[in-house]
Amino acid sequence: MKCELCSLNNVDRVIKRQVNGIEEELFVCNSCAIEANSGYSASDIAGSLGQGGEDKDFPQVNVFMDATINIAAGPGGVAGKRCPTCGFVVTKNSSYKNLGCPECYKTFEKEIFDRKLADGYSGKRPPDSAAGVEVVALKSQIEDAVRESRYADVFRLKLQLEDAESRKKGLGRPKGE
Amino acid sequence: MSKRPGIVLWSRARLFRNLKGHSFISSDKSDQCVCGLDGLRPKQERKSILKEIESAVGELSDKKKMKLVKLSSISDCKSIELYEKGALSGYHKKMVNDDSRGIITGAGGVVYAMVNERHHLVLQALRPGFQLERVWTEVDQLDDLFGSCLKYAWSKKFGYLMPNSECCGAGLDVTINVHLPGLILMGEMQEVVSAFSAVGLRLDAEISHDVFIDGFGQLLRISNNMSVPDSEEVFLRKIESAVSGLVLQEVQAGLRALKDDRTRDMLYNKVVCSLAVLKNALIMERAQSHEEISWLRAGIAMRLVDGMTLVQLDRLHKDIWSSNFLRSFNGSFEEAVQYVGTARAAVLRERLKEVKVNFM
Repeated sequence: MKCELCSLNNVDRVIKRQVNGIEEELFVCNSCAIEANSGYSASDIAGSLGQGGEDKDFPQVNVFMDATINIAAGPGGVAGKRCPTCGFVVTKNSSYKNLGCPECYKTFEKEIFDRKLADGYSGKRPPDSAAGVEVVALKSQIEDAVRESRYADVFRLKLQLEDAESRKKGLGRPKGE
Repeated sequence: MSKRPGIVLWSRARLFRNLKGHSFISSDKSDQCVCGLDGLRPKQERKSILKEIESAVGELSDKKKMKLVKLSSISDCKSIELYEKGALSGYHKKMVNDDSRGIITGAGGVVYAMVNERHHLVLQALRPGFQLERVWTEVDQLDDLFGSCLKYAWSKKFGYLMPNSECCGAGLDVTINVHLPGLILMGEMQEVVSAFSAVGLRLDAEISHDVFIDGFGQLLRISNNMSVPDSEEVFLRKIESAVSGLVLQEVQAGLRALKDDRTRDMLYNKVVCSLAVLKNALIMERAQSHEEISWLRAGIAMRLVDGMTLVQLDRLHKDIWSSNFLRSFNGSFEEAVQYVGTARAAVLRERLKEVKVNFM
């Protein structure tokens, strides 16, 4: 996609600007974005921050952003919190409905967990979780035991496998996770 | 419960998965987060996700025959066909020219997953009739298969992580398509909707909410509200028992509708009118055919119509999908709309020639 202002370079960012009182959104390249800098609002700049939350073209942005966030958050807000990975910013009215990346859950864990009012997750676990890894290991141990005709071990391992599978499916209480 | 479509037409399970180390996909441009904006950077991100999933598909192809197809290489007609089958979401269908999105297909053209839809990976399984356990088993196996090659964004506190924090958890979406003419005729739908919402389920009209409120088109979709409070299997058992109860209620409501003079006359009137429209129309739009066929289906289910079975009608319903007519059409979009409407009406006239209302 080409820049909507110069039509020469590829699009690097999205900016918003007011034309005759109507806000329009433009997909522009870095150089056009710098030229149009005077028309920026804080949220535009926040929106233009890339992954990593830092922008080389706007060194002053991060300081400006933090100040804006503190004002927006107001008394009692969670001012100054920003995901270090994607740049998602929490303000007083954040709904946590459009988080930027999985790391946001670590950054805003307390806020999200408080709002969810849940007892925690009790469903299926991915194969690389402790229960998932245990299932894979037990299956391989059972195969070995069958090959070596250790039937007493097969029986014991199968019981352990059933237990691990139910934990992986979220039917039992999590162990060691 | 029957595997053949009756009151329950089809069952589908979808699992939403996002990958660790990548930003989420979002279509909401109003939000502050950069990753939500549909500009170039998110597109580059989507391309890298697509590449990662493509290599996983390559690794898994010896275990299960499948391949990743980019949306940009799918024709408009094919995307409409997949959408009508329920294998492609409406959102993904709109992105048909995007080379950073795709689908994972298997033997016989079955779509196992959508890549970079609203989530990085949307695994799915769809079966006719009420086969909730089977679709869950299939999608669960796919999940384990992909989970062995890909690192899912998962936390022990929140479960599978989603852009919307209210939806994180199991990432499970179950949809069951049901036909409920009896309950709609008897005016008992509001109670059903309330009962379902109490157990975290939603009943939506196939086309739109307005259609349901007006009492037309009795094809409805039961789905969950994404946040699954229990483990998946416990939750699926709850849905199964709720749908079984609904089927029983629908049968009883149908019998009551036939015993009551007012509702029986209303039903006869609807079936006669729908059949007349279907047998004589020169142009038939998709929404209209959907509505008329749902009344005819009610007539067949309640044995008011001779000359056609439910299986034959469901076959006909599939045969009048737009994609069937578009395959052989070469012309502009405006011409296509007119052409499909005319061709659909011709098929309906031909196939319903011998169908008659049985006045008992």
